[in-house]
Amino acid sequence: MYEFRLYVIGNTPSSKKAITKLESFLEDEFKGLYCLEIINLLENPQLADRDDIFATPTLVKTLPAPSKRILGDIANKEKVLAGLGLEKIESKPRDKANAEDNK
Amino acid sequence: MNWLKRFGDKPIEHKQGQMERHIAELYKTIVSSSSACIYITQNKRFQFANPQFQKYTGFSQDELLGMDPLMLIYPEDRGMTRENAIKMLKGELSIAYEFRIITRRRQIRWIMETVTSIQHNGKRAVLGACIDITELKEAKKRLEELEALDSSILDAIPVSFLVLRNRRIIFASDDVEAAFGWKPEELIGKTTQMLYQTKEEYEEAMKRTSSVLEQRTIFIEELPCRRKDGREITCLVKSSRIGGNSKGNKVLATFEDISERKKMDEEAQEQRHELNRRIKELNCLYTISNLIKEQDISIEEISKSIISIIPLSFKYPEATCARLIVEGQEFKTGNYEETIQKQVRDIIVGGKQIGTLEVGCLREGPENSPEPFLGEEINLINTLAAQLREIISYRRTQELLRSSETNLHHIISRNADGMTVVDSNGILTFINPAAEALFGRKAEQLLGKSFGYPVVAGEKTEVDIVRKGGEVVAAEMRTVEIEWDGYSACLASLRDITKRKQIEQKKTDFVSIVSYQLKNPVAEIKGYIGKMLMGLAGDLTAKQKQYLEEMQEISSRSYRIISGLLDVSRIERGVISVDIQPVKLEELVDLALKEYAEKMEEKGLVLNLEGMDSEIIVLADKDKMIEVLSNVIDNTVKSTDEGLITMKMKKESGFGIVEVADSGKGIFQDLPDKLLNTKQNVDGVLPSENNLGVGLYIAKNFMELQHGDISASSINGKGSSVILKIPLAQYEVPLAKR
Repeated sequence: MYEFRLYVIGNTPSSKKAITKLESFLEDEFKGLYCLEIINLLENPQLADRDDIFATPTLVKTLPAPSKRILGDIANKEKVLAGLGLEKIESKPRDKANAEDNK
Repeated sequence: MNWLKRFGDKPIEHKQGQMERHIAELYKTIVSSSSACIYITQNKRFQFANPQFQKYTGFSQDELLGMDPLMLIYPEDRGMTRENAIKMLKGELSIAYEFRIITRRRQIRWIMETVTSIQHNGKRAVLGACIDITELKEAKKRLEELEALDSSILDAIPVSFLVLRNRRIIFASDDVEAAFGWKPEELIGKTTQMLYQTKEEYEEAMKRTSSVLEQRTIFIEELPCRRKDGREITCLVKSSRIGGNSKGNKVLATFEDISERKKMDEEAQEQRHELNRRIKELNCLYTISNLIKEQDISIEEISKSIISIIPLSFKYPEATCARLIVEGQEFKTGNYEETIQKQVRDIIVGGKQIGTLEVGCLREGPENSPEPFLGEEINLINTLAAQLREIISYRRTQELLRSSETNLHHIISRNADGMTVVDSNGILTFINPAAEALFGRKAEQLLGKSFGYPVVAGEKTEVDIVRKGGEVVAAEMRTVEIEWDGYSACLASLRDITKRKQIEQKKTDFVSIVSYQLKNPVAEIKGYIGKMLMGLAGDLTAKQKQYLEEMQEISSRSYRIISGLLDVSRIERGVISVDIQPVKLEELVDLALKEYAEKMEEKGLVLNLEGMDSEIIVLADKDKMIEVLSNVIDNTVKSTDEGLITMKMKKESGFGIVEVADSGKGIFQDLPDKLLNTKQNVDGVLPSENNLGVGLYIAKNFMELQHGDISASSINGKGSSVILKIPLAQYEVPLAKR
């Protein structure tokens, strides 16, 4: 199971577009075996300090460990997966990946 | 004379005197105590046997008396013994004869016997004397066996050997022929001189051998020898005395041809020397390579080290001197002196000579060789010069790099833009003062924190900086992969664009307001012009009609521009909504084309429609899709002065496709992406004449809103092609009403 947390500020057209793309390729990559939590720092400003968020959009992969985060273009699948250290997922057979994730 | 009476046990009366008795006693004593066997036979019967004979045969005197002597003899020897005895008695045989007897204990013993005819008790008798030669016989037999064994051993020796007596060859093994070409019989009786290369060498070798063999039993030396065919060979000669006597004059000499082995040894020796030389060279190069690795070592120190190790790497270190001149500095060995026997190599870095390496030889070169250096040594000098070039070049590059790094740090630190360096784990490792200001935090509050690895898909991206206290600043982020303090990292520059964004927002709002304010009046003007052209305001003169038509054209264009600007401002503000419904693609194309039919006809353009009957139902916002198609067709018509416009519809991979191709100027050459992704003419104060950029920007955004896509390509002068992709309706659904 993969867990991601996306920190954004406000709800601009460009951020909405980027989130749509992110969700699309996460679904494509992890086929439902993922959880994406979107945190709007305008609504929860205290979380920026708590989670050491210095800029948005910041995407954090909390699970599996180790935690990794990227900042910037979250809509580019290849760059996002590479930045989170998940680029090898693509070559992993789907069944095997599911089996391992289910353990 | 009765012999027995004289010696027997029974004393006999005799007239002879005391003296005779005394002699008789003496004989008796001699016979009794003799270690030889003595007996007397008469008429083939023993008459007497002394104690030694009794002991020897095992029979007592009583048992022997009356026994036939032949019965004691080994049956096979009886005839021969009898014959020999008769011969001896007749005086025909003078040497003792040998035969075997069988003792009382049935043992066979060898004896050697002589017989003499005597008178015993007045009758002829035979006096026999014999000795036991059994042990002698056995010793002889063993000796014969040993001799046979010696012979076998000699035959079995796998080397050439000679047996010499008084320096003459008395035996030569068969292998001699293989080694020297001489047949054994050609050598027998001769000295070994013919096996030596000169008479002197032969004499010297003989002297040495004799001298050594007086002290020791074996002498080994390598000698130059000669074969019968004249070929010179080297032999390992082992000479040993035959018998333990140092004065013995029989010598066994083995000759082993070791010419091949010698040659191989010499070659191996040469290879060892060669290897040693290589080791020296490698050691030299290894030392230099180690020097290079030391980061802090200066070129001066390297030069000194090289000069000190050069002589050690050459064949004659004491005769090798070296001098190295680098950038005006001279380094030389203690024994350096000018010599004509030298190798000089220029050290050229970056196309410029910066020094020379000179290696001199202070001794005469080997005979027949004008060159005092070995080929390998010349190679080493070449390699050293090349290494020096590399080292100096590398050091210079390092210095430049260090300088560049310092400059880079300097530039980054002083840059007006915020600069951050993030390592591959997303940890912030550097932040400049501008970035500190941007983040509203001090460097120490940020360094080492997980910033997140910066990801930028194109040239730049926009991010929002969250300042301490929650204030948000818009920033444009650009990244570049760099090496920072020896590790790969990402340099992210952050430019505060808050003000620019605010201005853009104001501009968008202004455009929105102005467009909105202008759109209706222009539409009204357009309507009035139309009414006037229809004659609703009275008859028109030809001139009036012409002006009104031009006004209608201008107002139509203005209306389209204003509509476009309104669309753009809506896109920017994110206030555009879409109403997606299943709709026939060909119907949309048909509607979009209607507006341009007249214009195409005016320009004489031929429209080629393909796939209009293919019943492609797509999920689209009808109005947005018509606007997209209109924009594309508008651009196509404008950029094509003559020829063909083709519109092709088809299904492909879950999408309905509309491909619009023309034979025009090729307007998208080099910049289709730019046209599609930026509002080229919107950011300028006024749109361009044909509103090209705005149209495509709107089209791109409208297509994305409908989950479709638009792409364009051109070949300069040969036309353009625009491809629109819009998702197909997954199943048959009732079509929206027109």
